[in-house]
Amino acid sequence: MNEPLLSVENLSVVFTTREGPHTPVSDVSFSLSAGETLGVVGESGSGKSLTMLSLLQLLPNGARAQAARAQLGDRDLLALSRSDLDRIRGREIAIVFQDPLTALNPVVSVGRQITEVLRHHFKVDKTQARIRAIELLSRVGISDPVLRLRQYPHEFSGGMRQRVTIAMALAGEPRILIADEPTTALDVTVQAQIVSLIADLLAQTGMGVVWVTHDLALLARIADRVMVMFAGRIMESASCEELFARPQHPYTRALLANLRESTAPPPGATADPAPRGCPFATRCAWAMDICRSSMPPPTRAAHGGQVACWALHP
Amino acid sequence: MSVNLMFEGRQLTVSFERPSLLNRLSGRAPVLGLRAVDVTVRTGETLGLVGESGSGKSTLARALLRINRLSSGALLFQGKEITTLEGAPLRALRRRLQMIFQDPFGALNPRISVGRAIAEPLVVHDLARGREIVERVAASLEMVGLPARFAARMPHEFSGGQRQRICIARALCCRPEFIACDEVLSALDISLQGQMLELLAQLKTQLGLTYLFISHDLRVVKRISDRVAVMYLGRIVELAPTPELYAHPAHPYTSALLAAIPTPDPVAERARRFAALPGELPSPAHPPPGCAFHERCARASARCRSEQPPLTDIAPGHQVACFHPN
Repeated sequence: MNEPLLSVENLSVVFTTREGPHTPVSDVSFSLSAGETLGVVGESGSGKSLTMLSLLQLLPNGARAQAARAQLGDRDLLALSRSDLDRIRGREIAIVFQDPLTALNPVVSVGRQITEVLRHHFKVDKTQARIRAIELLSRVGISDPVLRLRQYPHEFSGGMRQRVTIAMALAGEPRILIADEPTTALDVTVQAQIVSLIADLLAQTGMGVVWVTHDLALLARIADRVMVMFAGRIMESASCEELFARPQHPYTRALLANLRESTAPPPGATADPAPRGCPFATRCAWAMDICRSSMPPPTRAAHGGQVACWALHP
Repeated sequence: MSVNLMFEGRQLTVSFERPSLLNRLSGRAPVLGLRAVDVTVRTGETLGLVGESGSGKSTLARALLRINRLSSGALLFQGKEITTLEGAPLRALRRRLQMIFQDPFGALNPRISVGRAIAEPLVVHDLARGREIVERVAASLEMVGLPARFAARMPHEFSGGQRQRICIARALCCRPEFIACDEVLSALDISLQGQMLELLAQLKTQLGLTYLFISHDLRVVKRISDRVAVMYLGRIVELAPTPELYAHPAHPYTSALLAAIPTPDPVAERARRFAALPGELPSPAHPPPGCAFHERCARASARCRSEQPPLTDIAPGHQVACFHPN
């Protein structure tokens, strides 16, 4: 097994509020190797996006990340200086967001937005940057790139805009791409196009990808490993094949049952979790007394991955 | 014998531009949201409506509810023509036809209590007064699985799923016969979608409702609909009973939509070498000639490029608008 590009241990995100600290992400640990795709699935509010944003110090005001370890190679991501961060954002780790319309500046031409990234990270002149931008646009499947460079985001359709943000993410030749629900705002046929595009780019570049989504089925096609999050915690993680074939955690089982249209009762709304217990306990058919009083630690599961559940605890 | 029809639309067309003098002189064609759609909604059924954004799903729903003006075509409700209904008879009709929207945050006024929001249709239609209003609001809330005491609370106190239930309660309050559900599950988490589908199904049986169920998610539509209509650029391109449509899609666009749904099976997904449908929905302002789908279709022939295929029967209850169906 090669050295992981990224390794995170016990990462938490804490918001300081008037009612006291609020922890939307607790004790998240994972690693990512080159050429690997890690799928992170969870509902809104499960902390999946916050986890990723915290690694680039992109948390909103009032929030702070802490971790036993958050290393990119030999650098500590949470202790970077402003100038180190500038060199890492976009260059080492790039992000593609859900909504390409807000990710692009509406009053700057697409070409300028891409060349800006190139000129920030590489010693290139305007002409070289322009040539590279044209290459990038054709690589993400945008036809007529010379004309398209001059255009503004409103002149692109939703799918084409998302291709532009992908081109921008690739511009820094990052080692890690974080795809934060990049296809959620798109129609299903366009979603399929973007998924194939990112899969092809991955095969060509050997990037490590973290794909964040609420759609577990989507990960079946693209992920090598899957991490299931609920209320800020990792409930289960395993290789993609194993997770779909032998889901362990009751929450994962419920998600899959819903996708497979079986009659198993789907879980209810994210209720306010017990402060110390398992956040899923209020919706779980297997919940016992211990589930309401303490959070189960992650343990090795039958499928070779990890699961945090008292009912499955050895 | 004919099936009992709730709606019958013939050649329904919705244009989004008034034929102003300037537009006529400049020869600019109006943008058509709906192009000569023939559609029926049977009493007691759930008709699913799928298609990509911009395909005209919401426009069709709004046309049936007489929210969008029909530029041409005829619309019948329970056998009676309502195409040009105005004033008091239209208001009386609207009590019987309700709509629920995608965004439960935008659909509730943040400054009025849940109870008042639900009571509003009762007041507007003068269906109840005083004590009876309170009782009917409580009854509606209970029908959607919320306690009656929630009536005193404000919308911000509720989660997305609860708000959507409140919106359903408001729609139910004046005892409609028909509800158009426009992407009502899209803003909800997957684990909540199952609950909401169950609630809608249960209310339908309990109250004898008819639904038009709009969604871009074919997985959801499959679970709730009796028949499904597939729309593309303002037209219905295929209509069939749900099992038939999913098992034997006849239109190449329907096949492409079904092929694009990810399945929760990594082995099958990876073995599948599927070709993503190229291109995107054309602009309704510049529709291609002939079949609107021909630019993205592998089977397109010269005829498809010049002639619009009509919606024709290929099996009992199964209609498709394609010259080269599967």
